[in-house]
Formats: sequence, structure tokens, C-alpha cells
Amino acid sequence: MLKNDPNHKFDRHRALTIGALAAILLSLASIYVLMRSEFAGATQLGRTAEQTWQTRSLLAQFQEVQLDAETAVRGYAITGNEAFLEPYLTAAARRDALLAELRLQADQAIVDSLPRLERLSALQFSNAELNARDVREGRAENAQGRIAEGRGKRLMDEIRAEVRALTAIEERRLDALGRASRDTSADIERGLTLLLLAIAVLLALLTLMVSRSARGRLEALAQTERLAARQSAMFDGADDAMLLLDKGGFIIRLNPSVVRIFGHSADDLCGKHNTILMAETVSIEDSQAWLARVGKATIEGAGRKLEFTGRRADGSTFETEIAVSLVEEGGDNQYVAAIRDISLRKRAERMKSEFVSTVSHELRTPLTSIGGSLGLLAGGAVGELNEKAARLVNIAHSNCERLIRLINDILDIEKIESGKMTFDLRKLTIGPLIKRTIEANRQYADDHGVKIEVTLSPWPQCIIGDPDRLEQVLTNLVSNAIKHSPNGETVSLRTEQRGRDVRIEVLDRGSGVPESFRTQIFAKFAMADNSDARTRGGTGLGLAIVREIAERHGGRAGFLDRPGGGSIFYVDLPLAQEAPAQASGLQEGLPVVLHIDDDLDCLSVVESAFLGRASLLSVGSLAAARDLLTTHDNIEACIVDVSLDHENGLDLLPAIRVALPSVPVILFTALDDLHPGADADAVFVKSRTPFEALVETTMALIVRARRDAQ
Amino acid sequence: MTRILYVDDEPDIREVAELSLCLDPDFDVRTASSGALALEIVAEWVPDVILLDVMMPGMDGPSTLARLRERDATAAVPVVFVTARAQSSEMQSFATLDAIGVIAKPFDPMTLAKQVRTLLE
Repeated sequence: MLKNDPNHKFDRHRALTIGALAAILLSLASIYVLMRSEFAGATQLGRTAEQTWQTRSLLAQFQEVQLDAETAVRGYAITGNEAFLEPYLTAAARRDALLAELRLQADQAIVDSLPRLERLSALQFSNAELNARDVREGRAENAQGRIAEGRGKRLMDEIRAEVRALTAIEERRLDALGRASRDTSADIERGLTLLLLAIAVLLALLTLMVSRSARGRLEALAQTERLAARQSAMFDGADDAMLLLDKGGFIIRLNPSVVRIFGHSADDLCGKHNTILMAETVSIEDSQAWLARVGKATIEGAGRKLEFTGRRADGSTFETEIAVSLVEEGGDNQYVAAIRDISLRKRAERMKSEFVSTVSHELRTPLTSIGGSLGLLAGGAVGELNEKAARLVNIAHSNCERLIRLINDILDIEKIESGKMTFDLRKLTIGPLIKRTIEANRQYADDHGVKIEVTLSPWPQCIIGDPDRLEQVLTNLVSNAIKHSPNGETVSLRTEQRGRDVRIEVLDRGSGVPESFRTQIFAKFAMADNSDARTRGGTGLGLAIVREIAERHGGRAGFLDRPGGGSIFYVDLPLAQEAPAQASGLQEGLPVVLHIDDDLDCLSVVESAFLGRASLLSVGSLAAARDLLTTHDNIEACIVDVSLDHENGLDLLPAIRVALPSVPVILFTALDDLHPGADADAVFVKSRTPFEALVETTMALIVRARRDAQ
Repeated sequence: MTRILYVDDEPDIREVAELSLCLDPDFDVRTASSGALALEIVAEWVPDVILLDVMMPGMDGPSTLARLRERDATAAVPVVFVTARAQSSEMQSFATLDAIGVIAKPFDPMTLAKQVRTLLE
């Protein structure tokens, strides 16, 4: 897995990109609006310019008409020639047309000023008309006198001034509009520049991000490639034989170790079924069924490994261990199988166990002679010895016994630590266990002048354990307590229920545990004070064995200071759950589990372990089991012991598969050498597996089978 | 008198065992150094109980027991295994081999006779 969450980064990236794009679109829209307003402004300016030009042109024409009329009447007055009157006769009509056009076209300010111009025009025309009539009626000198007086000229000047003023208004209006338009244009230009700049920046940003995103993608791709390369290196470089199998168990890919370990060439194996590497006759169907189960088991964590006998290309066989993992690839499952050559490990295990056995035998044989002889001498079987000889024989005898204990303890520790110590677990009550321990240590206590006192709980306390090993635990604690008690004192044993545990305490009145020794008291070969005569004869392994055995029973060992002097050493052991009231009656609503075992103790212990979780049908023989298989179709799991009295539990498996094809089968057996080909969903070795594991796995398998059935 | 045959390939242990068993005045003890010799002895002297060492060269304890059972005279004679491999699982497997008990080596010489008497009862 990558440490950083890449999705987060990608999300941020996407948001940024979208933001930038939106900003660009917004800018473009703004530009459009600005351009539109600029265009509208320009159009307005154009229209106004045209209007003022037209107005000015009309005003100029108006002035010309007035002048024409004035000039025409003056010419007529001077010459009396009617031809001069020609322009005057058309002037009034032209003037009215111009005024009408001005009213229609011109700006309001001009229109408002027109009446004054009209009045001036009317005055001039009436003056001209007066002159023209005088001439026509023969009073030319009157007209000439008025002209010389300059009335017409004054009126004409006034009209000129008025037209100039109006023209000036129009010019100013155009100017003002032009200036405003120029100002708006400048604003728009600035806005546009800014927007274009923004777009440029955004585009640059976008480009950067896109390139970065592309780089990120490239990096991710490179990382994936590196990962693939690493996995490839792990696969190819592994010391174990690695196989990539398809859904059916056919070999897709293999690493060089396969070639090295099995001696086949890579080409020989590709496309072949993995059973080619097995010496056992395993059918392809069985192998596929196992793979399918293992695929699920990977999730549950159980039964993923299997030991089997491998077969090399030359036909020779060797012991191997296979571990399979499921690789889910889009609904098409594949499996990665790692096969390890464990023949060396197996040989070492055999050699070690042989060595332990040999040491045990070879050391005990001479010790039997030595101890036996010394025992007979010390016991007076061959007559009284003198005082000095008796003392020496006693020293030799007690040290010989110590040597025997040491060998036993070393072998025990070795067995426990290598996982070789088998525990014969059964349900037992604490009381008899304590009584047996006391009986075994009575003589030892008498020799030390120490009394033993027991306080037992009034009701029986049941635990699941190996009675011999637990007696060993209690003996170690009791003999320690006796050894460290002063003469005449009492060693007390008592039991106490603490939650789901029972605590067995051994109390002494010794000198207590020295401060410096507290942390290592349960360590191997730990003895408080080697000069203390009372520690002589000990092996230094007793408490280490106590702790190991207690822990292997799911409990713990410890010690406390005893008020008033001395120590309390204790072991806490988990209490067995109460046996069901009706062992044979099935409890409503609980899944039904068939359990076949010839050991009645085991049947009852397993039954109580499942209490409240499942109802057990417990039987002691295959025949009884076969009967139940035909009469009970509600069985949801089968727990089968392999080594039954004169029967092999594996023989029942086909019958189970026929009667109840989808029901999980759990082997629960004392034998270590299980058949790898056995068609079981889980395998537990008795005394190596806590009952909880058996219960939990069985329940998990039932749940899975129910889920699969849906 | 209770006739006891003690079979062990170790002469020292044979001697110590014989001395130990003889502490019971009612025991008539003979010893054999191998399974084959034991078979010879029982041919003319049928014991009341046979103590059989498990690990012996040649014919070991269990195979000696099998041969004893083949003979009518010793088919029903109780057998006790004596073994230095005193692991509980092994002890149990011997018990299934038609023996009345297992005594672990090293045994306590002062109580060996008593142990045998207890097993016989």
C-alpha cells in the first residue's frame, strides 16, 4: 500500500483545474459584455455624429435660403427686373421644408431653439415681402430706402448668429459624446487588458497543472511498474519454489527455484497441473477442491499450509510444505503457491527427537544401576553401614536422585519449548489433583518436619488439563514450599475462584523471595542463593516448568509476598465451562455438529467447549456416525477423530461428502502425521490446539457454509 | 512363593533389580539377559509375572511379549514393561500391548517389590 492517499491529491488537482477553467469562461463572458458595450457606444457615437452633421447641414441650407431670399428682393429693388425675384418665390417653401426636417431630425436642444429662428425668418420674409410689394407697385424708392436703412441686413446678421449658435451647440454635443466615448473606450481597454492578463495567467496555471497531473500519472505508472518489478523479483528470487496457478491449479508461471528444487525444466511445467510435482496420487479434482478451500481459508487464516511429499523429475521424493495465497483478479481467481523443501528440517526434527530419546535412555540406564545400588545401600537392604559410610552413601544417593530429576526436567523443558510435549487434555476436578499431589509429597514433608494443610472449595472446580502435567506443576510448587519452610511450619494449599479462572495457591512461611531475584524467579536455572543448603537438590528448572505448563494450559504462574512472612506461589487455570444439563438433548436454534471420537473424555470436553454455540451429536464409532448421517439432515459440521479404536476416521469422509456435500469437515486428532490428501476443511492436533480455536474455526466454517448455500 | 522373571540386557540393572525384588521374602526371582533366554527359561519354569525391559538388542520387549503369548504355558502370564523412555505417550502405548503395567527406569529399589505386588493385585 502507498503511504499517502493519492485520491486526495487527485481530487484537489481536479478541483483546481475546474476552478481555473471556470475563471477563464467567466473572463471570456466579461470580455463579451465589455465588447458589446464598446460596440454599442461606437454605434451611438456614429449615429450622433451623423445627426449633428445633418443638423448642421440643414442649418447651413436654412441660412442660405434666407440669404437667397434677401439677395433676390434686394436685386429686384435695385433693378426692377422680375427675374431677380425667382429665388425669393421658392425660398419660403424651401425654408418650411428645412424647418420641418430639422424638427424631425434634430436634437431636442435644437428643436427647442427653432421658434426663435422661425420668428427671425418670418421677420425677414415679411420685410422682403414689404420691399417686393413696394417695387411691384412703383414705390421702389421706399424699398431702396429701407434696404439702405439696413433692416434686412440686421435681420440677416441675427439669423446668421442664431445659426452659428445652434451649430456650435451641435458641435459641442458631438465633442462631449466623443470625449465620453473615448473615456469609456479607455476603461474598456483597461478592463480588457486585465481580463486578458488573467486569462493568460489562468492558462499558464492550467498548463502547469495539466503537466503536473500528467507527470503524477506517469509517476504512478512508474511506481506500479516498480512494484511489479519488485514483486517479480520477489517471486523469481525466492528461495522457495513459487508457482502462479490458475483457477484450476494449472501452472501459469514459475520461478527458477522450481527448476532447481524439482529438476523439471520450465517449459515442461508451464500449462501442466500442479499435481505433477506431488508424489501422492492426488486427483486434479481433489487438488482443485483443496485450492478453492484454501482460497477461502486465506481469509480465515486457517489451513493454508499443507505438508506433502514432492516428486522430482527423476522420480525421487522429498518432504515439502506448500503455502497457498489467493490472488483475486477481477473474478478470475489465481493462486500463488510457495513450496519449501523441508526434508532437512524434518530430518533435523527426527534427529533431535531421536537424540532426546537416546539421551533419555542412555543416561537413565546407568543411573538406574547407580541409583538402585545406592538406594539399596542407603535403605539398609544389605545390612547396617557405619555412620561415616552411611553419610557418604546418602550424599551419593541424594545427588544421584538430583541428577535424575535434572535429566527429567531438562527433557521436559526441551519438549515444552520445542512444542513436543503432548498434553493429554481431559476434564478434571481440582480436589483430587491436589490430594494426589499431597500424597506424593507427604514423605518429603515429613522428612523436613513440615505439615501440609489443604483448604478446598466446597463445590467441585473443573478445568481442562493434563492431570500428570498439572500434578507436576503442583508438586514443584509444594516441594519448593516444603524445602523453604522452617522445621515445624505448615505449608498450605488453597483454591480460589477468580473470574473465569481458578487460582491454586501454595503458601509457605519461608524467608520470602529476595528483591534481587524477583524478576528472574521463573527463568531457567534460576536459584536464589547457591550457598543456601535448602536450594541444594533443586534443579533450577522447577518454576520454569511450572510457568510453561501453566501457560500451555491457558493459565499463568506467579507469586506474592505472604502477610506475616513467607511467599504465596500460585497458578491460575481457566475453569471449564459447566457441562450442559442434558448432554444428549439438542438445544433449539443452535447449529448441530457431529463429533466422532472414541475418547469419551474428549467428547464431553468438546461438548462443553461448544456450550451455547452449537449442539453436539457425540458418537464413539463410525457405525453410529453413519446412522446419524442418514437420520439427521440438519448437521452443519463434522468433527472427526482419525485414529479411532480399530477404525480410521478418514473412512467416514466419503460418507459425509455423499450425505451432506456442503458440510465442513474438521479433523481433530492425536496423530501428527496427517494425510495431506485428506478431504478436510480444517485440521487440529489434539493437545496442540486450544479448544477455543476448534470452536471458533468450526463456527466460522458453519457461517461460511451457510453463506455459500444462499 | 511368587515367581518373577526379570528380563533386561543390562547386567548391573539385572543385579540391582534382583536384589530389590528379593527384599520381598515371598518373591522367587530369576533373571534373563535377553528375550531369547527368557523364552528358554519359561519353557521349564513358568513365572507368575514377567518384568520385561522394552529396549533390548535383538528381540525387544514387545516382540518378546508377542512370542510369550504364542505359547500356551505363558499365554496368560501377566507382563510388566520396564522402560527408560518414560514419556507418557509411550507408556500408554505399552499399556495397550497386553501388559498389566509399566515401571519407569530409574526405579526406586526400596519400593520396586511393592510396586510389582500392587500391579499383581
